[in-house]
Amino acid sequence: MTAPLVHPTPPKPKSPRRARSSRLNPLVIGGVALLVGMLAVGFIAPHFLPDPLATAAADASQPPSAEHWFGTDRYGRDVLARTIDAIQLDLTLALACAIAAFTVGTVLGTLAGFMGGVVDEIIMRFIDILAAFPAFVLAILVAFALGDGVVFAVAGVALAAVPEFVRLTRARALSIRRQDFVLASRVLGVRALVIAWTHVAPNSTGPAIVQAAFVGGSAILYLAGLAFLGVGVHPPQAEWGVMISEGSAEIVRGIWWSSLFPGLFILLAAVGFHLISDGMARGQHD
Amino acid sequence: MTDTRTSAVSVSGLTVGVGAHGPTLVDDLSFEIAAGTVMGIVGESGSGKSVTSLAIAGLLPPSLSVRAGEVRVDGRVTASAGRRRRRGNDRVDIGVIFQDPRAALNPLMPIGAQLRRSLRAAGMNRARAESRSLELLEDVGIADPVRVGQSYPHEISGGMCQRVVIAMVVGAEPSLIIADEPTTGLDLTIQAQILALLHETVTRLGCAVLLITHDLAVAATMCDTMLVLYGGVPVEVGTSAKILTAAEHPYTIRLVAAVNGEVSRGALAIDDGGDLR
Repeated sequence: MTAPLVHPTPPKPKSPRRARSSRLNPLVIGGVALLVGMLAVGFIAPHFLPDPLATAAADASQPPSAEHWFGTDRYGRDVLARTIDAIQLDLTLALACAIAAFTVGTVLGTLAGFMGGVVDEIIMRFIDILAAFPAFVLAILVAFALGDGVVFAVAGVALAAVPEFVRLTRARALSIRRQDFVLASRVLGVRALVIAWTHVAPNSTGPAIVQAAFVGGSAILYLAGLAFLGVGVHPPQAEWGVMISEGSAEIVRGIWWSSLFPGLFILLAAVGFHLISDGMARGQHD
Repeated sequence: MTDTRTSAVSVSGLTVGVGAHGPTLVDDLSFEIAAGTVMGIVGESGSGKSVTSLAIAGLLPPSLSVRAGEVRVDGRVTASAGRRRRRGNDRVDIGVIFQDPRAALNPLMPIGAQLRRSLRAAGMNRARAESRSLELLEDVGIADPVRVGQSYPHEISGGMCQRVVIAMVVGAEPSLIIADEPTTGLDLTIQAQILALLHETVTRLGCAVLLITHDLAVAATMCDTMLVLYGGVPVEVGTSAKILTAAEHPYTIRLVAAVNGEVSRGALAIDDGGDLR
């Protein structure tokens, strides 16, 4: 029955496909370009701009002009300098939120989905409690409870984002745990935590990576919101939320520029993160 | 073929069902496999072949449970009634070859790394695992083990993947290899190669093999003994020669006849099985 079939000319072996990296979604490229561009401006431009903290009473609340492109705030500080100066801080904080939430969420989600049983119950009930609070309220609660400070504001925003990561990862882990390569490792006697780390986690984090980019965008909004309410970053530090908060009192007097421009930058950064997230989500459906 | 064989695997009265009171999927199954021999479990889809193999490996999904009987591999119990599931660290000497070789490999890890990991899990040190993994890949007929070792599963063919899986199993030197439809997803020429490789491996390792298949022709070439499952019930056990030439149970007779082309395929399906039990 095993008579060999002979090809007249044996077909050449296919060269391994390495097309993965060349198929980066244009949305992802656009989002990354936007964020990297912002960061570059944030690093370089401050050298050519006035001190973001320097006040000048005589120059207070000037509308945009050739000298002050974005105008000045009520202390006479240059809004352009402050907006640009805040790029590094805001993007770093947003990234920190996304990374923290991703790490905690995927670890818990992998454990819950892979271990099942009591572990799953405990983790998911805890997540249910977290998810019961509106995200912004939870972030405020945590930031207030832990203490006032940038780190705690980041922790609050990250924690509020954790439930979604856990659910996404757990759902994937539930199906990965029944895959043959996981079963094969179990038969070999590989320890459960090792299997979870080497086989289940890497294969379960796809949706969570998309979510991380999304959270990066939302985190900027949340952090700005918290700063607006006086939690986290404080004046006179240049931060978009702080700037909007400071400018808000002046808007009724027609001084729109000290709030509008930081708001636009929040929008830009959020769009950058969301483009990456959206692009990756589309890539995963291919 | 000597007389001094010991039974590597003994299954006695294995009964598997859905939960505690649901339908029974495998009913009172008993057999033994001697070291160095191949036992085939033959049966149609849904006859309980795969459930049997999962039960023996201790990998039943949570919804299924062993209701009675026990399985011993090298004298150690791997599955018995009342045991929910195996703990991760009580290592049993079983290697599993699955139907879909691609699914049996982690898609995000290079093949060499997976092979080394499985060797490390078996207690080898890093350097030894490194060299042994290349040896193993060569043993299963992979010409350039270094390049293949660096490839991801999606970069090599299904037949290659199955060779890698076999290399992994061989590396663990198990007492029992469970091969669940190992060639079903492969095309015919590759099938023959993989079966030949499997046969050679068994001879070299001297381990017992449980070959699950729906293909009587495959079973006939590979197996020393055969067990025919029908609706979860063992209807015939014996040497391959006996089952192929002198089957006693009506289902087996029709199965063999169908393969030989003596009965139309329909004849097997028309019976509802009531009289066959």
